[in-house]
Amino acid sequence: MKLNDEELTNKFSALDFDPQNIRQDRIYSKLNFEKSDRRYAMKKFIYALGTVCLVGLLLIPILNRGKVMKNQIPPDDMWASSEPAFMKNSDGSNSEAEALSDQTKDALSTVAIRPAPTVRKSLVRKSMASPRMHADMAAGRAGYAGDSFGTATSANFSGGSVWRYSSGPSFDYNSMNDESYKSFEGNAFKFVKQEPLSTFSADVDTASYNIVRRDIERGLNPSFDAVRTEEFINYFSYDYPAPKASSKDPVNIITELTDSPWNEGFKVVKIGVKAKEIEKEKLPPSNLVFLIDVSGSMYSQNRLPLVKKAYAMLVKELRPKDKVSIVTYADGSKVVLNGVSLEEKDGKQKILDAMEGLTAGGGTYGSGGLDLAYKTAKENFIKGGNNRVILATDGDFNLGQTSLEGLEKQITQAKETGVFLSVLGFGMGNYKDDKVQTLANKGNGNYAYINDLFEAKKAFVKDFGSTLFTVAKDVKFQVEFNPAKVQAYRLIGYEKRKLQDRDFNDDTKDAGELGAGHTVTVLYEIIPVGTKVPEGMPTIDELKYSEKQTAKTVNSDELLTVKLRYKEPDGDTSKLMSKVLKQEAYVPFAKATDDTRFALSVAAFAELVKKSRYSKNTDIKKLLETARKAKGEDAEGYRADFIKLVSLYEAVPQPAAN
Amino acid sequence: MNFEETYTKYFKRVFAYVCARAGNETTAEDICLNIWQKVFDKFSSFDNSKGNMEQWLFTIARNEVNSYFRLYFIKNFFSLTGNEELHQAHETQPLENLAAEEDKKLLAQCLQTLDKREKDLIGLKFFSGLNNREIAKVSGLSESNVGTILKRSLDKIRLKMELL
Repeated sequence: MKLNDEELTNKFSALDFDPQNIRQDRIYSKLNFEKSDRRYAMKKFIYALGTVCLVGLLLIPILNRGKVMKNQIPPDDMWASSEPAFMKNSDGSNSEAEALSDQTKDALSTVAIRPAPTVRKSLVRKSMASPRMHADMAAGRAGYAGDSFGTATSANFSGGSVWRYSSGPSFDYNSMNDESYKSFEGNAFKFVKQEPLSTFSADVDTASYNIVRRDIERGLNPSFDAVRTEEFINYFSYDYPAPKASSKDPVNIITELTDSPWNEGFKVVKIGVKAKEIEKEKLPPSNLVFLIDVSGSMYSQNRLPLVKKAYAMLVKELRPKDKVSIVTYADGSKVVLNGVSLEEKDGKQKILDAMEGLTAGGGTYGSGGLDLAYKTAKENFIKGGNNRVILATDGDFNLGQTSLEGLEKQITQAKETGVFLSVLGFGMGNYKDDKVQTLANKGNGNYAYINDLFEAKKAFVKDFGSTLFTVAKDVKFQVEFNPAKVQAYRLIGYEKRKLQDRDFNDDTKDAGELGAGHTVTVLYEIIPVGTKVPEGMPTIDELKYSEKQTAKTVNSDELLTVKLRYKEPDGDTSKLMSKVLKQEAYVPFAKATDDTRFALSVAAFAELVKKSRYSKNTDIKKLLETARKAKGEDAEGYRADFIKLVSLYEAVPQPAAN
Repeated sequence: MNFEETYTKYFKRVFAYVCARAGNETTAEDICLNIWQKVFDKFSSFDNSKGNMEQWLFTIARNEVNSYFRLYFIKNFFSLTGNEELHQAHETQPLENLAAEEDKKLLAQCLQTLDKREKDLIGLKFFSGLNNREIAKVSGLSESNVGTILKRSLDKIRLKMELL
């Protein structure tokens, strides 16, 4: 049956779907000829009613949740009054909480066992079940609240800690992505009579701040373990006086003593170290090996393309006496450029072209790449110069040596060649912070996280000297407190940099490096003798046998002595520096230097993000206020950025630590 | 023109168009009830200057058919009794012209093999009495595009009819 257009059209028009007008009449009879307005008004009203009911239903669990939380969180206002700078006001706005607090206080003073509500009991039980807590208790860590988790006598104060720690590390975060961080716990208060020495390694890494900033800006809840307070503090540069030209030491130590912004009566000690600055032209010639991860995981826009741009910035900064090699690794490793000298006419262009040609794909044979890079660095070794491997990676090693311990061993061997290492972390989602950090720590290196061009600029252009030229290596601190003046102290941050006291004088123990112009800032919160130790803080008994001995050491107004050991970049024996802090150095918080107040704001913010047990009284508004006032000159705008970040963090509702 | 006149004048065309879209007369009847109810509600707001009555009517009809099917799928999704098939037309009517009925069935069958847009345009073209330019306005396509799609769908129908 063949049809032309006309026939088809006729067929269509011949169709009659309703031959007897049955449907026409039926529909007409069904039509509603009432006034439409009224009908629609009714309809709208019903819809509105329905919406209100639905919203109400949704709100009920949310509102109830808030109520339960209020009961669960133990009140924390039994510390001092509202004097300290960052401390929340306790002006009776929450009478319910206060009543509860009074009750708790009474209970504490009369009976040793605190009346724990059922909810809290269950939380304690939960924490007992967590393997991490077990480990802590087994280790018998003697610290403020550190060893009293989950015990029946634990006071109000540590009750909060139990609650926070029972969540386990970064639960929310890790369920969504695959980044890994080494977990650790914040430092607790230590008693001077028991542990008068505090020893740790210097740290100039800045990665943690960038990682956390990235998360906050994306509205994510940063992982607790990603927060390393010392890296927050050291991200900013401080205006410390550089060592005098005549001085033989490459570093200068300064100290400051002021009020603690957290607790009334407590004090804060700041120790600042500044490495000598060297003009760019006077820096020794460099032999740089760019070790670039070109595996498939580096494919995305914020990885390999950003790496190329970052290195291009660095190449622009280099001088004619420098040499550059490029080594890449994916499924295997290969040397792309071997020791191109920038004295060559088109040396820079050659490097840039070689870099432009790199594409991402394949596995991640990181250990092979490292071996080859160190080999290449060795071939082009400049004696007395700056020999350095600069590794750009997301840390996701999946071929060859992939375990943390294995990499650690490999890099420890590799650094014996005298080649330094800078690690630049790129990417997010599957970022392996722990591996990258281990590499940098063990391989005489430093570590920065780069998520945008600004950070690349900071690392390579602004901090050119400090990122790439080491002036002192294996820098260790040891602080000795005077028990006649100081009851207890708490080192803020540096948890992962702790050393054994005896390691201080052991030159074989590795520690952090200082680049040209680097500043390192260390903060201690101390409880001076005479200040009442707050209720709920576990104390140790008076020593029975050594009491008289300590009494002899009293006649001194020294609070503490800072000792610092460092090695020359190519030296093997360490040199010692020391500085004493006396009580008369004390200035009130308002008169402390901008640097100190800003560093304290940063530290307080880090603890807040970490949801540390010491941050519970921190008032973020006051913190912000202090940071604003302490901004100082801030030519590069990094401090202004910090203030922006804090106000963003304040505005975004934070999930409670559950 | 009042509502009643409009109704008697255009009912068959609208119904035929909806049939072409819906594929069976019972569903079409449901949709038509919605359409005419809406036409009645909005009748006072009809503006002659923006276009003629046919355009206005078929714009409404088109939207109603679309929203009916959208709703149909949503209802189906949330339905507690499982998937409900669209009503099938099993009405027995005294047939006066068997041949015409055969043709109708055949044509309707072919129409249902087309996709949504082609069905829409074929329906508009042969049952609404609109010309290509008006169809273009109602459907939001360009005039030449309408022509092309129509041509293509007619070819398809022709092919189908040859096969059957």
